[in-house]
Amino acid sequence: MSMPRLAPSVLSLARKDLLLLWRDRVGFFFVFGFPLLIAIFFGLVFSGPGSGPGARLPIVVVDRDGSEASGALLHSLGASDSLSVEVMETPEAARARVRSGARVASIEIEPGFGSVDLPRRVVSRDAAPGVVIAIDPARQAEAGLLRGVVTREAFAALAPPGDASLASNPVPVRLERAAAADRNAFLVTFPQGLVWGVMACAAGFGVSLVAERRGGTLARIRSGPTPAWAVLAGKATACFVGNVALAVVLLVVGAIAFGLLSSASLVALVLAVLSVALGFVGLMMLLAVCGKTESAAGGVGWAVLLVLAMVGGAMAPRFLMPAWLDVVGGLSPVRWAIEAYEGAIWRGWTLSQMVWPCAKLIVMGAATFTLGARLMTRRD
Amino acid sequence: MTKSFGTLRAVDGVSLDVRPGEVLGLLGPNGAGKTTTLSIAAGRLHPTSGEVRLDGVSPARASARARVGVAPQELALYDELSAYENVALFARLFGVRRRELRERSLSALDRVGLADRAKGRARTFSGGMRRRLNLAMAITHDPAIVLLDEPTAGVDPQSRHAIFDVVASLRQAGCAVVCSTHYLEEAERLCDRVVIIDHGRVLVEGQVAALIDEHGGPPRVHIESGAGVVEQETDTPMRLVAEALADPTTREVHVERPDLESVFMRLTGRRLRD
Repeated sequence: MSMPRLAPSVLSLARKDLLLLWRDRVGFFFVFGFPLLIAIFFGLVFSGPGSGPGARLPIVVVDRDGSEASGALLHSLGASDSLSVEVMETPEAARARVRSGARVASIEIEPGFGSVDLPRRVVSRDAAPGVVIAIDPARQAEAGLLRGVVTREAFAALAPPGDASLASNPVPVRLERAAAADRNAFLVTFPQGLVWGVMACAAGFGVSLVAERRGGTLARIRSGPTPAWAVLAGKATACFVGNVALAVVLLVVGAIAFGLLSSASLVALVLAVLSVALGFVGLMMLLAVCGKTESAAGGVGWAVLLVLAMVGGAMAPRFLMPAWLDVVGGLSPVRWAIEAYEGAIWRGWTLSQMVWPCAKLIVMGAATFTLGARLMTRRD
Repeated sequence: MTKSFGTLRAVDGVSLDVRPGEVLGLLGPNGAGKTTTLSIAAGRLHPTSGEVRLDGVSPARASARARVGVAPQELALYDELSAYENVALFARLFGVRRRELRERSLSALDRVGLADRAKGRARTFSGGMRRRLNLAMAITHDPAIVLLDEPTAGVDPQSRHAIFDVVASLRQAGCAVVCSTHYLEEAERLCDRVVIIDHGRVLVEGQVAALIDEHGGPPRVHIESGAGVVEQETDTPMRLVAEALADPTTREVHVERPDLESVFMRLTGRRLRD
């Protein structure tokens, strides 16, 4: 018997796999349909008009100079199509507003801003009083846009009308971070990493639940004295422990290696870790009933989580979003989780400020767990 | 009891009983309703009508299910757990106390010949080993009733005999065993009584010998001689044998006594089942 030729074998095997993919309709959708929908949807979203009121960056301005020029700057910032301005009296109050997440940045017009005219600024640019932008570390993506707008308006406030004779802008605009622990990018990346971790954990446990259902072990356990709720509670407990362990490991590493927790509140942090873990345990249960096969459940699970992450601001800067999408993103548990972690780690949120995102996570977790458990019990 | 799935009546008026120390064989072609019957008995499915009692208690009650051991036809193991971990998990779920866990789990593994592979991952086991592990997981908690769905499907003769030994030991220990199987010689050897079901209905029930006497038909005499090959069913086989032996052209003669397979084929027919 001669050896079979390889090319037909390879083609037959490839045909088999494509046929299997075609037969797995859910899997097929997530290979071909879902990316197309995502590309079209977000393309339409981000290519839409970004100049509406919703696209304005919310900032807080403190005029510490009180001069005519600073007043003109304040007025022009308020009139800008790019900004939504709130005026406050002190830099401390303004920065607290930024740290709380209510505003993207505080713009502080330094004393003496209006007393140094443009020609003298050319000589002593960096030493001259200017403008300080204290940006929310989680909104670094917006910093460039904000700096450009402030620089332009500051120049316009100091320059005589129609004077564009200076080749370079002599008004110093300094950028700082508004967080208590300055200059630490890990303050932003670790909360996001934590949320990606719990999403992976939720997706993984959801798929494992489907695998157990398909493999017969779940039915076998159910044939014993263990009630259905206990079986699901066991899975939920494992997912919860996984989520908490993940958070502990990341936070300990972050604390030791990057000083992550130097200004964190332990009580708020515990509240954040527990509520995020509970919230995503519920989500895991709901994801587990979204597909009959492991690949389908995995596809649906990650698709849902990616969309939640995208609209929640964990993937694309929020300032790129139109107002309505930013509002929709406020319904994403990913945003609640990031808010909870940031509030506990560096925003310096009080417990009363922490309650809102944490309560949303816990309620969402309880609701999705109940719904998922009921659907699963009914399906079994 | 009956069980319907939509318009399909998978179990249609089946009534069975099994006593302590008895092995009841559940025989039938594919799709006859054996697995559905066992699933109802295990409390996994609710009958559409009728009821199941385990020592007088419904399997809907957890206390009743705790006294049952189920070895499903589709191997339900955790591949990434060791044999010991698989057995110990189910022992705990069925109420074995922590202090007895190790001893009971190792004992169950020993009964199925897997004590020396207790630490091996189920994923690395052969088909026969996995089937034996499947059985060990059903008996660790010393159940009063054991439901075995095709316990020897796809295993080698050595594993099959090991499983036979376990079933025999369960009977000796006073356990009530219900065992569905396709292997009729296995049922003949293991079972005190058999029930043959088809299309969800009980066709016959009784001891193997009695069923053969009643439904097996007459012996079949097979003769090869100068006149050709003759097969004949007769109630007087020895007369035909004597005649054949008197014929100098006879090359071969033998008598096939009816067995359980004869009963099975007579009752369920030769039509293929899918």
